[in-house]
Amino acid sequence: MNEYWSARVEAALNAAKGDISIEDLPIRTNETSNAYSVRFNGVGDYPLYAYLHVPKSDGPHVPLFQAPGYGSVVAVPPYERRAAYMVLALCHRGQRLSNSQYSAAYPGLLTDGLPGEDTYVWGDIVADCITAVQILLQQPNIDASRLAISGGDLAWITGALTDGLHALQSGGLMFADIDSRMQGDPDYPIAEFNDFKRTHPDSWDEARSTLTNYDPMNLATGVDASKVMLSAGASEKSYYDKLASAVSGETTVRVNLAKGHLDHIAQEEWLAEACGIEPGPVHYPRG
Amino acid sequence: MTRRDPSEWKSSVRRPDDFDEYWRQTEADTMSVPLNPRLELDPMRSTSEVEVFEAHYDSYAGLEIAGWYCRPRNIDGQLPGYLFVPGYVSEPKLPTDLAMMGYAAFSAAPRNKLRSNSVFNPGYPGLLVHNLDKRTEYGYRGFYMDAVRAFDFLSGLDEVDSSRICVQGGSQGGALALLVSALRAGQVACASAGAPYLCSMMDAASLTRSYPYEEINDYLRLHPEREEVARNTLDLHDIHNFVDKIECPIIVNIGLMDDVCPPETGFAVFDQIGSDNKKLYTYEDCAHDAGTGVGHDKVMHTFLAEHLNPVAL
Repeated sequence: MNEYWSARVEAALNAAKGDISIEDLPIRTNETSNAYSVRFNGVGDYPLYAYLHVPKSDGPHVPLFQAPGYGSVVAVPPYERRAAYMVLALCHRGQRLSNSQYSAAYPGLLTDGLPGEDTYVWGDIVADCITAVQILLQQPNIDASRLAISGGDLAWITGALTDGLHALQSGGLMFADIDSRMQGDPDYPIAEFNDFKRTHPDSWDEARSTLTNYDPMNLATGVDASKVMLSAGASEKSYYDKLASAVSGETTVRVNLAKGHLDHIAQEEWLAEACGIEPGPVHYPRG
Repeated sequence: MTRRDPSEWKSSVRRPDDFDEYWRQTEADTMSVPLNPRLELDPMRSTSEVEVFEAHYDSYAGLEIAGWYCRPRNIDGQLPGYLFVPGYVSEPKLPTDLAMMGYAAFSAAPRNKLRSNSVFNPGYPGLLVHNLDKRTEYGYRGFYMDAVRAFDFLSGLDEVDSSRICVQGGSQGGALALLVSALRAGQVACASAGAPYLCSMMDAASLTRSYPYEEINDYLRLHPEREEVARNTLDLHDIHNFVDKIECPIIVNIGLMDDVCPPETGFAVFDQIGSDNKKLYTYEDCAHDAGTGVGHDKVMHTFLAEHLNPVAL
């Protein structure tokens, strides 16, 4: 782990030693799982919120950190995940429910704080995720040896910076292959980089240097999960194959079929098998 | 698992006796608020080919609503207009890609979305059940009007040919595309609605356990005594009850394994659409993506371009 991340990880781990509030969340409790609101402070005493869902079945449960995606809203974890895992879904700083001091903008978050390494907001966002994983691991009735992380960039980065991870499922990485994806007229959020470069040309080299800390390829050697799944678009396979080859654990690269039902089922079945449990109940279509 | 044919499913939505009067009054209340359209150039998001503006207008109950407006630079004559309406949890897209296609494109952020949530902010989850037990104060009443006013905003711009405006969206955006096409019938030139949400809402909650409809299940689990009150509120705001008014050419796409907006409700609302020029695209093994990854985006843009004749940059 390089100097950039080691200091941030240390601060994030220290933040997890602070006070934690866990309250019942009856409206999200259902027949398969109990729901809780988790409140704690991230680095810089920033107040954060997370959903925690605990299966009503006997434990110990597989702890699953559902890393936040790129958007203002963090969804309640899917029904099947709530039934099968002790799943924690974090709202990182700037997202709804964790926006009392800072509100992220879309577009805007991806370049907020660039060009400097110390001012780029994603350093603290990653730290929020690392703190949240530690809080998940502090919960009773879990099997910490089967810790799993799922999501996009924040799953990958958190996975690379977390020791003892068992399963990592990721894909759709924004920080992957930035230079080539900025060519032409990319869609947002990648276009945010183009906007920054166009309006701050003199700062781009420094910004690009900062972003190397988030390059999935540069973080790959830190991924020590036993099992890794990477989901790739058809045009991205060669990149993800290369990324997989840089990882030490048993790695699967799955090319998405762009058919949401089949892709979702494949991902959930992989995760359950990797964690040694049955997938959560299929709820649609009902018989 | 055996499964009933979703195309044969029947909606239980009822049309309240006061439906037309309720929405006539709601529109009248909305129109009493001056639109007050504002555009401010956003230099950071603008490019050598597309100008990007942060937009604002006023809507139902006087709330200020935000949006993104994008247009090609060096306009020669009037442009076709493209109203993009957003999904439930996603932020409205910044439609530079649509401007590149030759449209004057407006992407609205109805109340509760970021930049439009200083007064009304029930959150996500939250919006779907906000004031569910208060029939005329339900959260979607004003939200719907924000989408209709977004159309008025776009059609009122000098550089937009008001006879060539489409409305398009997926999920909640699909619902809003249907809504605007109905409430601006005769003005919307064509429309595309993907995986439409807010259709047969009470039924949908019994068909799936995925959010956002799971919000209704959550609500009724805590308040089972309010089921009939909730049904009455939802019937009054169900998109199913609007679509017989749609007159324009329209396409609808659904995923046959959509757990978010069950295809049963998509078939049912499509059957109700009043337009003679309508087509339904169904996609096997697709969920809420509704075929966008397997070619429907191309189908949609071809359809819209045939009706609107944009000149791509």
